[in-house]
Amino acid sequence: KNGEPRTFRADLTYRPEPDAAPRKYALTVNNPLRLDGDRVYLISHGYAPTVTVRMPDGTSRTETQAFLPTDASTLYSEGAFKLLGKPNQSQDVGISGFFAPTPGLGASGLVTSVSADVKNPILGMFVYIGAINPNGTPESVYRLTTSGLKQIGKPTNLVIGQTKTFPNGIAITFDGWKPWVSLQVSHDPTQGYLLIAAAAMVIGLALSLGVRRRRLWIRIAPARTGEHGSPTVVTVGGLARSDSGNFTAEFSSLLDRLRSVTADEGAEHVASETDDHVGAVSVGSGKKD
Amino acid sequence: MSGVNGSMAHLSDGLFTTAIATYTLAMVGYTAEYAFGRVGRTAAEKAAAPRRQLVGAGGPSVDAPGPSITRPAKRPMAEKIGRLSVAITALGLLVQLASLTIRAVAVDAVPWSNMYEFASVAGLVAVISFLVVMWRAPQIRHLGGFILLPVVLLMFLAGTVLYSEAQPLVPALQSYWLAIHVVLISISEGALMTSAVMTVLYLIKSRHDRLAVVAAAATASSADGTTVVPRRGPLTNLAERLPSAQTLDKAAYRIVAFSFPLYTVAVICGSIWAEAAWGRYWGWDPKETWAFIGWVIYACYLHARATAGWKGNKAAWINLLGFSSITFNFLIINLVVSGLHSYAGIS
Repeated sequence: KNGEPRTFRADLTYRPEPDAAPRKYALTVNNPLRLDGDRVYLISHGYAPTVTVRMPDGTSRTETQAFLPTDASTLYSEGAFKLLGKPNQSQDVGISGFFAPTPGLGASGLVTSVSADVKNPILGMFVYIGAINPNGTPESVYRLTTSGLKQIGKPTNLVIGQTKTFPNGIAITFDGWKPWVSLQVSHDPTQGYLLIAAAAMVIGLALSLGVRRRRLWIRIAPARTGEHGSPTVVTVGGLARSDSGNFTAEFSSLLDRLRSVTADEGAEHVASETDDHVGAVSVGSGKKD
Repeated sequence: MSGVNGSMAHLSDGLFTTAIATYTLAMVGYTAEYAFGRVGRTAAEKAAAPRRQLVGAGGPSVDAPGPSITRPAKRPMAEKIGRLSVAITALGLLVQLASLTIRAVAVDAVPWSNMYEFASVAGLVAVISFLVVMWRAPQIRHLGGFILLPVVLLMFLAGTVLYSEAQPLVPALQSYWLAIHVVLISISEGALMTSAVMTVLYLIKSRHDRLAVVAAAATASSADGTTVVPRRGPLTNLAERLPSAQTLDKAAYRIVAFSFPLYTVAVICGSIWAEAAWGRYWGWDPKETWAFIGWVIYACYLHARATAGWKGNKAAWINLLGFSSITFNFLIINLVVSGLHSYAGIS
């Protein structure tokens, strides 16, 4: 009611196989049509005005052409009609125009659109005559190349049902409009595998951050090799990865436990150093090894 | 405004403003505890504790150490203010939660579909992260002001520049993925904000410690036994009252260790949603690209923190770089660069 779209929906009828029964599907922005590994998406929509043109040679033609929106919220659209007459006669009629679904006056006094809803739309046009694209070079269907063409009459704004007559007997009637949707068909067979890989990655990540990996090395050796009765030296080293800082405290408490156990048996503590996550302590024991 | 309950939206905005005011009040309390509280005073006064001199009857004074004079008067008061501030913070949290809930009811959708609502959720999570970390490590309570300051600023920005009227969901956002992807992103980014604040405080404290070590070494090696005191800079008062650098570093790391997997899942959910909405799970849309950049930087932070030579300060700077990229993603990409992700709600 305030002009904002509530939903975009295209009601489709489709056949999964050429000879299967038709099925219906309501295609919306977040619900693509999934067919056997392929997907059909609703990408965008717009309006296609219809005009009837009486050509210079007297024949009448009705054409509907999709116009491309230049403003996403108001769907003010631009496009072109290219009506080719008899070849080599320079009697082609070209219309370069805009379509305003709900017209209003813009800042510069030009007609613009104020809402994507269609209410008394205006088709504005510049009309040209001449040879359209004589060399057949590829060009956009939505744009008219006006070099080499002659503009006839002044720019005109028409409402539905209105006709404008030009010299040379050309008359153009704005008949109405039709909506168009653009669809995208996507095919990506690796998606499912990628999702599994992503899930595995997250699990691995959670494990690597959650599981605390700590290593301890304990070396027990005689202080003076070969000598009978030399004390035993116990060297302890520790290393932790991805730890949150508790390991230093843990390591110290481990050393304390070791010291208290060996103290019971008459050990003598020589030196201890801890440095970050690698610590070492030498405990001399009076016992024979 | 069909489909939107106007009076509830109005109530939600009022509660949002009340939450900002409540957090500001709590901020004042935390700052008071910070300046006058026991932790601060103890650290700053250690060297200055006067000693009593024993005086023998009729004899010369004997210089023996007596008990240092304690000043108990201000400490309990500051602590009371600190605890009160926590209660006020919790109250502000409830008010903000109410604001979001009522906004959700007003628009009949989850309350995180535009920048204003998203910022509010992120701020909420930042405060919750701080409260959780404080529950595990109570000694950081007086840092509440530092956390609440960016939260209040973010909420102020959200309520003014980023604000958008309550309106029905645009069609592109009418999907259950909105509830999953966006809320996970806002939770992880809100928590990462708290981590960034902790990291800044860590850097301040770490520099302070380093200067003290240098001064102590100079003292030890000085020829005439003079005591070398580190130069007092503008942040020295602040640094003296901070908890240990290790505590701050640990807190920052733990938050990232929690947020990073969550952020990963959030980005993956976004990709799954992109596949359903735009036809491809990854298209290097500006927002997707910058989300990826932030992800890589935080991964570098986690690696750096476990690597000798990169722990400590260098890893901290990586954390801040990661948070800058997230902030850039939120502000610049939403507002300035145009891409598929422009649901900011700002016209």
